[in-house]
Amino acid sequence: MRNKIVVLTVKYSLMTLMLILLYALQTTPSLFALWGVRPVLLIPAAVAIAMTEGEFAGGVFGAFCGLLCDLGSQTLFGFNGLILLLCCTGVGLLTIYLMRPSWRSALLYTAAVALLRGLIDFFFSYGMWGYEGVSLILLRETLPVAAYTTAVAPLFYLGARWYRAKADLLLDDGQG
Amino acid sequence: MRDFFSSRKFKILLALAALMLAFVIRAAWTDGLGTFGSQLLGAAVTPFQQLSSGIAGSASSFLQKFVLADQVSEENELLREEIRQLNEKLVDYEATKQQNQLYEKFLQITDDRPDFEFVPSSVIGRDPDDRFYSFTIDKGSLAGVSPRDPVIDADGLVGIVAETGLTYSRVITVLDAGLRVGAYVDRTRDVGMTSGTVELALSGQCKLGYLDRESGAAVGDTIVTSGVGGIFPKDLIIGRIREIKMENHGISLYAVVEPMADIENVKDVFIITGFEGQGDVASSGDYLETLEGEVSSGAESPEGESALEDGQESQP
Repeated sequence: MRNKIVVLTVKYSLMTLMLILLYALQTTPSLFALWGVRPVLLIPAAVAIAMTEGEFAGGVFGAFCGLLCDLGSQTLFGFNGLILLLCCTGVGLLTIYLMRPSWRSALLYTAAVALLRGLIDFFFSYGMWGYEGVSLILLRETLPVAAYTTAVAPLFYLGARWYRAKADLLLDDGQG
Repeated sequence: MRDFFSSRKFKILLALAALMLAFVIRAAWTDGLGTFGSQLLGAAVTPFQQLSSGIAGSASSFLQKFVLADQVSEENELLREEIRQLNEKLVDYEATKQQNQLYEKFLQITDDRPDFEFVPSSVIGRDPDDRFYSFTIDKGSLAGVSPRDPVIDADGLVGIVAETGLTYSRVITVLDAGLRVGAYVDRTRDVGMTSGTVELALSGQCKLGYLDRESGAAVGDTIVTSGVGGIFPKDLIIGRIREIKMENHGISLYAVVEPMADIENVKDVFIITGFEGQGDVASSGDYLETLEGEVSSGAESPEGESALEDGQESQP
């Protein structure tokens, strides 16, 4: 029991650290930029955690990832946190009850979350204010970012699955 | 699924969602001020960001040298091409500009001397070993240029055509020791003869010899051609007197003359192919304005002196 707590503590601590590092990479200027578009790496990471760790850990880490996104963006602090909390909880539940986890479903979930988050952000930041030419932002910013974010989702899913398998192995060894 | 919504985990997540909502409301309420949560999280992640940014910056600048090598090379080629085109335009511009300046001078001289027939020309070569600054121009016999045609620029007399080819001519200057030009002092009408000397040519000056001992010529006076002899037209400006000195033999004076034309650097000239009185030799003695070879020792020759006397007699 004690070993399990230690393994879980180490597991989630490392996960938190990795998310912070991911946030640092995500906010590093020009890193991973393709034609000026950069991915929101924390979204596929949160989705992958939700898919492999379940709805509760997914929701918590989703909120954490969202808060990190809020730190680096112009949105109200908690905005992305709330969205990713709800979305990742949903992804965790859908993975349990509806779709088997795979890299394809990771793509689908990430696309849905990235698009939903992007559209809500677009609506509150630009759409509802009635600026001229806001459709350009949607076409040249929101949608390409969502697409790029979705494209890297399988990598995060495979990484999260490997990490989960290693942690389970340690847990099994501890219990054994 | 129903179990989840009634579970403790769901309530925790619900509480978490409420917290997020509270963050949002708080952030909206404070209008730009960071909440405690954001400040705490921000403080925790900032060192990671700094580290990442530093590493990424170094790596990026290192990799960009290789990644952008093709782009830089391509850009370099384009810039080279652009520079080449601009240089070509610049050459065209300079040529047009020079031509324009030349025609302006040409127009001015033509207005002053309607009897002159001109051929404008450019200096295309200079002999680096020649002490008297002779040069080659780009007009020859095909353009109607003949030996002994006077060469001038807008400022004054430059020299005379010594040799002509079909498309080029060689010009000797008034600094040349072999060229003698009948001249007079514009103010006093004192007659003399200009010629070059090796020593004066070094400083871009020439000599007006055979001036009467009683001459009233002074520093600053203008020297012009006398026109006697029919080689040079009358009243072409040669230069200004810089010094008046006594000849070694003590019979006459001579003046050091600084040509008005920039002999050493002249680039565009006019060849006078025809003028009123050209070739009119008043007497044998007037034939002083000639080429090296024909009167190679003219300064010392008795012919020269007699000619000078003739020139003095025929006051301009």
